[in-house]
Amino acid sequence: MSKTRVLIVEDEPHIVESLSFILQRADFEVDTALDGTEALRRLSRHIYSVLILDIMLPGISGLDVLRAVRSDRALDRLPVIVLTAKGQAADRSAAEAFGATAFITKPFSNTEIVERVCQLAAGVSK
Amino acid sequence: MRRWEADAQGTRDAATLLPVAAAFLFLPPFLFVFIAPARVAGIPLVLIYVFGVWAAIVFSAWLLARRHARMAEGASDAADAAGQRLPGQH
Amino acid sequence: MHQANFVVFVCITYVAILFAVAFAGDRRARKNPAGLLSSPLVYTLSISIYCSSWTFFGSVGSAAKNGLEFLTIYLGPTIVFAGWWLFLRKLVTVGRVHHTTSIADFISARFGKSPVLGALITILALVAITPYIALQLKALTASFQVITYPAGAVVAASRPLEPDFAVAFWLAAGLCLFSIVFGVRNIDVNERHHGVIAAIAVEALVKLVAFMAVGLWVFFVLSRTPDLMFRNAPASLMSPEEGFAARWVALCFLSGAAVICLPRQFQVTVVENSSEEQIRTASWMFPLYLLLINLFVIPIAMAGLNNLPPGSDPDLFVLTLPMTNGGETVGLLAFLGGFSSATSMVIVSSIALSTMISNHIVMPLALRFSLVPTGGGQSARNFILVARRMSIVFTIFLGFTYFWISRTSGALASIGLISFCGLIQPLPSLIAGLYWHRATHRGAIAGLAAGFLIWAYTLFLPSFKGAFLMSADVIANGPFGLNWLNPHALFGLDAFDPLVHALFWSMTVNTALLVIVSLLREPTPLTRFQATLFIDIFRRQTESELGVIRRTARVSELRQIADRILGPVESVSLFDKGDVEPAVIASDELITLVETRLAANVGAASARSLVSRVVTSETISVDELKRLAGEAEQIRAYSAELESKSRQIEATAAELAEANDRLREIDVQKDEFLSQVSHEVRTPMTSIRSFSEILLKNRDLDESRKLHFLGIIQSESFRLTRLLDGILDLNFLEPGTQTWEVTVFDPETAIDQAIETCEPLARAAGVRIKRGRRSRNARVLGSRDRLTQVFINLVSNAIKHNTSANPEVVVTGAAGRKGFYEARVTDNGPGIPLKDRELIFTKFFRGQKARQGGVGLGLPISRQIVERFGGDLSCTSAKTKGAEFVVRLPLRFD
Repeated sequence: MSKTRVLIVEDEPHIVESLSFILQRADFEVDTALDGTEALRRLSRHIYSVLILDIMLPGISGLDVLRAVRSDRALDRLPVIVLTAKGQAADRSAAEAFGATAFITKPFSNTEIVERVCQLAAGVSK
Repeated sequence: MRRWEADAQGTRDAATLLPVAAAFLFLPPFLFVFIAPARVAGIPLVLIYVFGVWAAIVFSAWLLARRHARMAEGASDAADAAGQRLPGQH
Repeated sequence: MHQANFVVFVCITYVAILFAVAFAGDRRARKNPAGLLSSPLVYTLSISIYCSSWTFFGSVGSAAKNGLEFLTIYLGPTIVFAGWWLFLRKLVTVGRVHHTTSIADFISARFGKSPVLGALITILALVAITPYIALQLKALTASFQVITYPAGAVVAASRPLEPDFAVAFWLAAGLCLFSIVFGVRNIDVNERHHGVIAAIAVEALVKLVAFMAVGLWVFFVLSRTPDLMFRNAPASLMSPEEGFAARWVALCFLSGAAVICLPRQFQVTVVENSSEEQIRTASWMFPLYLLLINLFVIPIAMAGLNNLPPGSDPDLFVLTLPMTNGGETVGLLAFLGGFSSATSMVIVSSIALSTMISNHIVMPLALRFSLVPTGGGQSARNFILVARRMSIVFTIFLGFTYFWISRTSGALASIGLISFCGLIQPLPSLIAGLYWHRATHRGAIAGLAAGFLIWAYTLFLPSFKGAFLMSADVIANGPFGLNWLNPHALFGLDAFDPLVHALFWSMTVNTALLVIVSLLREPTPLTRFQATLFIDIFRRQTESELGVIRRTARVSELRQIADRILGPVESVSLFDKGDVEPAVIASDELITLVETRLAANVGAASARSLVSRVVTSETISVDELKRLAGEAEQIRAYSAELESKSRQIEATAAELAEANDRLREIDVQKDEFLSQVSHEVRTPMTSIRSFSEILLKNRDLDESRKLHFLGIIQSESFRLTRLLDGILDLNFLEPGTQTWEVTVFDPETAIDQAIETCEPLARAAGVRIKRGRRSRNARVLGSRDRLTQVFINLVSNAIKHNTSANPEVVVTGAAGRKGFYEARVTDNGPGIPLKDRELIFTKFFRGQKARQGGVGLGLPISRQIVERFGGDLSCTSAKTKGAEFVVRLPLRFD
């Protein structure tokens, strides 16, 4: 059986790097995308168990990606963890409305994010 | 109420117009039209004209007075309804 | 003929009946004030004293001589009464509300209760009415002589009859008695006279019935057909004579004014009025009365011309026609009609005048010289009554004297017109008083006096035809041969007949002086207050009007006056309100009330003078007055003010809304900024936290990996520091938060320093920095360090974002046009898309691809610095390829 696959969509290379590291350590297979366009391209090519999505993206925003995901039949049940920051309540509620599964606030704890991804990935595999 | 007010305005206008019309009809130059060597049933035309206009004015004034009386009643009714008295009513 | 004794007996019986009517009327009025005596019918009949013996006898005379002209005397009043809504209504209401006692009282009260004005009008009225009363005496005497003439009425009427002054004297005496007994019989010296009005109403009916009886008798007995009747009709009935138009218009005006201004007309129309219903009914009933009484004037005149011998006095046709044609009874009725019209006129005139004389001449003088008895009981009131009775006798005997001296040769109508012209002089003041706030008592006095003098000079004195004061020569040629002062052609105006001429000049000068003199000086506060009360009579009255005049008086003294003038009964009702502890000082309301009651008895001016004696202080609140004065104007002004205020408020609201929008925008910007700052801070923080956790938890990592992660932590920490520095810089740059050391310096030195600083960075990135053209001796004002910071920013941006294969940055400086220094930082990199060229100057904006390192604050900060020095920073496109940033700063030449 292949490893559970996670897609990280984040425009800050250092954050991508750290997330990739900790998730790989937790035995996930990790793909990354630095912007929305790339994210959508990857989503159309592979099947992911969890999507980690930053809200503030250049070009196509995180919200746009989320909306696209939820309007796609094949993806509408994909768990999406949205990365937000405090003080962005509007973005958060919009993401909630668009069907985000979970929220993690930056700066995040590595443990928390791994646990969350494991949980959601397990839910999907069931 | 609105109709009463429109009536009242009409009555006031007529009351203003009446003396003006009377003055116009009684004074030269209009009067000159009737000072002519003409008789109606043996009576000089001007006499018939003056007394005819006079009677018409009396009649108009009578009609107007009746409307004013109704208006005054309406006004005092309205004033009574409001619990107030109009100035000069004793 | 009738026996003199029989005629006297009829007269006395008639007077006795009238007296009974008056007596019953007074009793009825006391029992039931709203009864028959206040009915519109009685009111209208009383107004018909306008038709005096002048109408009864004179109309026929005038018709026989001048055709239509007599009609003008009734057409004027018809127009005035039919148009009651325009003027009469207001006049009557003011008179009723303010308990006016006469026209003199009305005008004097309106113009600040001026005693002079009251006296002036009284004298004017007395002088002008004297010939009129003489006229009535003449008519009475003549009719008595004709009806009792032994040789028959025709003979009497066709020869010049020497007036029998014995008859005239006894008639005058009888009229005095009659007037005193009717008019001033009452202890109650009130402004209304119910008994007299009742008697007058009966007389009005008698004269109408008598005249119509004569008319019908003439028509059915003498004329039978219109053709027969108008056989000898005067030519003037069919074609207008020369000067007809002017005279016709003038006479209509004169009579219209007279029906308002004659003292007796003012008495019955205004003073005796008790409700609007009365005047409303009179508006058609009085014209109807006039129409009826005139219906047979021309038939009688025509019959007289046809049936009586030439030379018969047409003024007596009414009497002589029936008497000579077997209608003795109709003749007697005609005599009674004439008697009625003359007596009612004299009675009411003398009562009206006696009120005026006692209130405006006797009382002021008596008050001035302290002649009013101060004793208790009825003495003061008796004094007033005696004054009135004396005035009646005086008035009537003045008329008698005039009759005796002048032997009144003129026809009845012409004497009446002379009198009218004098008596209408108060008209301009009356109208101005009711409609013009600005009219003053000085204006009224000037206008009245001038009108009076002109009337006397041009009409009254010449009417004696040289027998009194003015010689015949003066009348013909003017005084001292000055023809422009000719009484009948002032300033050479000779196109009119004397009456029209006098009317024109007196009214013109009267009105002009009233207006001009009024405009010269402000009205006194009291005048202004009274003007407001009179002019705004239909405005709903408020209690606050009492607040205008503030006075103090002792109740005891006030009561003393009230006791003396009003009598104990009324005084008790005014003062004894059942208070447990009576006040010592009278309230403003009480003083005003007492003054109002006194005014109803002795006139406004005397009442004021009486009250003033016990008033210790009086202030007319100018503020209150201003508030009241012309409330209409105030309301207008107020609404205009409101309008402008609301416009102002709207403008303010718009401004506020705009400011609010701006604030909200700024607030949104601030929120965005904070959110961006928080995001910008969180991003490096996230990396730092994440990697430090990785390092802490994963001890097994190899060294190079650890070093790499530590390097990231370090670089993110630097980024965080730069970010915070940038935010602080931004804050400092906000207007007014910091002052820099500002000097004049050469901007090229800042460029040099910036290039020097960026050299290592450029070398590392493999970018060549070229120093292009430089300006000589350019001087700008600002901070060298800050400008250096700007150039470092621009140059390092150009290095960092240059992805060209052969990257280079060119910096040039030049003194540009319009006194500006221009520095350009040009690169050969990818350039900046047009849509982003302004966006890059907003905070936290970063190009899509260029995410590393920058915090997105460099360009906004740089722009703010340059703007602070009065210049600008913009992004253009390089001529070939890449981006170009232009710094422009104003040059200093000193």
